Amino acid sequence: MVDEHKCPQCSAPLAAGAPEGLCRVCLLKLALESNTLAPIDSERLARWTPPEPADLASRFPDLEIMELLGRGGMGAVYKARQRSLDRLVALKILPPEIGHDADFTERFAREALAMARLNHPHIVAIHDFGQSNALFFFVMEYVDGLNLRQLLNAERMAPREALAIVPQICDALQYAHDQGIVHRDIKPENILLNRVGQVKIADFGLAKLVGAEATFGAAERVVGTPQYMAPEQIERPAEVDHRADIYSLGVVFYQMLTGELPTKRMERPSTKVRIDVRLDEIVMRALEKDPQRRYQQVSDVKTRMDTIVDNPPNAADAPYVALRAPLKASRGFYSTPEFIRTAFGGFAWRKGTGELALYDDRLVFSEGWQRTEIPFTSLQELGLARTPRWISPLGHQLLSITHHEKDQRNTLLFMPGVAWFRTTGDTNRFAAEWIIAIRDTVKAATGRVLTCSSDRPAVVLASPWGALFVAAIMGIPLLFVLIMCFSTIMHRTNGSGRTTLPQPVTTERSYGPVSRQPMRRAQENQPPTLPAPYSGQPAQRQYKMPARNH
Amino acid sequence: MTTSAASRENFREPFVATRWSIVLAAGGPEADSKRQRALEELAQVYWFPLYAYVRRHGQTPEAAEDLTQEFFARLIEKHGLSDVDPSKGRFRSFLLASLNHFLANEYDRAQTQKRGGRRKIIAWDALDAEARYAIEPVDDVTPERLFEQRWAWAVLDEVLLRLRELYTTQGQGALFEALKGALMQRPAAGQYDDVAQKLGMTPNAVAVAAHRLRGRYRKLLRDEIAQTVAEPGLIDAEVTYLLSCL
Repeated sequence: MVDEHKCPQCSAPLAAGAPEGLCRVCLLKLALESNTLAPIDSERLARWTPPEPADLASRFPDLEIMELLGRGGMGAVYKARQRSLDRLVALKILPPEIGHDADFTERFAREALAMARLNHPHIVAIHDFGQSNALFFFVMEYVDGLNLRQLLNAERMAPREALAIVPQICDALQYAHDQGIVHRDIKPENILLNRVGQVKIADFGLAKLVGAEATFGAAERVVGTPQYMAPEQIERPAEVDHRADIYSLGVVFYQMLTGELPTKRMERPSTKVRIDVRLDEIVMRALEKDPQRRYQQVSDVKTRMDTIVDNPPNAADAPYVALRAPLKASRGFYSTPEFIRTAFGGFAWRKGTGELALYDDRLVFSEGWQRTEIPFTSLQELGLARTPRWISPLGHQLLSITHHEKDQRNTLLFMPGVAWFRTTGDTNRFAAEWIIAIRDTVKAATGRVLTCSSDRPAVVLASPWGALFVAAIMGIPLLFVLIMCFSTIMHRTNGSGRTTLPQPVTTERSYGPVSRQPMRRAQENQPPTLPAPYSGQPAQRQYKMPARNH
Repeated sequence: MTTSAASRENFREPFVATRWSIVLAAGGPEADSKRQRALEELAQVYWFPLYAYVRRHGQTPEAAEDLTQEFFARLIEKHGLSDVDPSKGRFRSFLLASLNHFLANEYDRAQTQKRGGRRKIIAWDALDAEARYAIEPVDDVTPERLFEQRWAWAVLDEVLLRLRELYTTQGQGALFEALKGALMQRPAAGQYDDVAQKLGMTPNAVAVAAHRLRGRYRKLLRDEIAQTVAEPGLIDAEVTYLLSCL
């Protein structure tokens, strides 16, 4: 019965004998799932039921509590509306197990004040905090969007998305570190993204506040999420400084790029996904076990990333494409005027298929492993071209890009799209769209207006051998048919002295009723001959008739 | 220094003398009996991957049973297998290496000496080993791969069995049955409303129960895997490896 089922989570088929009818892959994965280490007894915390929104209403008269958004090791979060200001807020309450200690109130006030002072576009703002009937709470900015965990679960992240997110995290962390606040629990759940993709980091310093409380007076204890924790955070929690956040950022970055958590024998991200190898260096350095060998400031991470994005590596070893998405790209057939001038090119103009991609400062044409980068500065001319009518009778138009490369003038002819049969309307429109896109991007990037001959396509010179070849291919069958007709007519005229409908010459020894007419003629003119041994029944009957007349 | 020790102890996965670390520990008559017990416990859970491995090597069911029993017997008595280095961190790799060693060197002797005088470490009769092996797909899986895959299965089977027992002994068998789907997927809001109605609980309480079920399962699973590795730092790596075997 379970055989027909697929796992709802990973959609792998459920094998027979799956334990309790559950998917083994998902079951094992649960062991790796991130769970904040609860500073208090996890069983006790698990038994804690966050209050229903309605039950909280009496404690927070200024808030209209709407729904429970989620719960974690450090409390529960509700969506609420602040009546006085008519705005959405998030209300976080800490589990009641926290705060038995009389000193906690004072510590809470001190730490929360420090957290509330953080004022940064990429940090979830704290509007208010306090204590209501032994329940500690924060009122925070409401972020309408997703957290990074949900985003990672939903789909594989493109490298450029990761490159957009990480610098924002760096900004937020650097700002907080400058204020002397270490996050201590950087993980995908705490990295929120609002609807326009802006990063907001939540729960700054909460790990420290909650963790320190549990063993107040004794040594500080381990609080965090094991997979994202720096080694020293597990081994010597008292000595943790801002560099622990840099390690956690490294783990998050690694996971965004590769979709996996770094393991003990960690492979460099570029061996798993196609990214700039220089990103490996950033990730691996952030993940150094010894804090001394890591980046010492999170701003260094951002600086290094900026350098990479701004300085694309050499064309030969550079997956520049992977770093930024092209503005426009399409696959299509390509050729060059030189190729069309060869005998073969004059017959079939296509040299191959390739991909043309437009970036904000260059065009990249790639065919398999071959990449040609055409920076806008080397672009010379843009236009439409077409091949002679004998190659393309309908007049498909090609995109013609002329550029300088090492003092040589090269022209690339490109027809967007790879379908073999297309209407001229489509190809001509695609070519025109490309011209407009390139012209406008070049103008925006360099201010230069490219010469475009877009109104009338230039005709590419083609090898005359091509024409001859086409003529030969078209002409030979025609010639053959003509010869056939002609020879038949000649035969009819010579054989009977009058022109009748041409009859196949072979019918005299052939079958049945159709051949009766010529047969009778044969009887008049010459003695009957034996029928060929292979002729059919009707022919034999005809042969016997004259025999009876004798 | 006490700081570190204290924090280690509070760590969610306390690594106090797991079965495999007991096996690895050397010395003392007391340690020996402990070691024996630990190995017996491990054998009860992980015999099937070994049996499947031996069978896939072309042994008859009877010979495979003999070999598996004899292998564990020797392992527990600490004879004959001492030249395999157990310091390699993982019980799984150690077992496979030892078994290969055993099959290569001891096979003939086991054949001649042990027929009739089987030493039973595992209560075989109740296990229905052949019935289990019979459902193995006949494909070109190598014995090693089969072993590792069945190992991962054995871990999960054992953990789920224990989880079910935990709930059944507390009289919450129905709750486990209703919520076990939550082990695969974090429950969506409102997903278990009908369960709540059926069991006479509030939806909130059911959500908490599902959360707790996941937490308990996760702890059991990590504990079980911890039993087979030499240090807690290897748990994640072992889980990742087992995932690749599935």
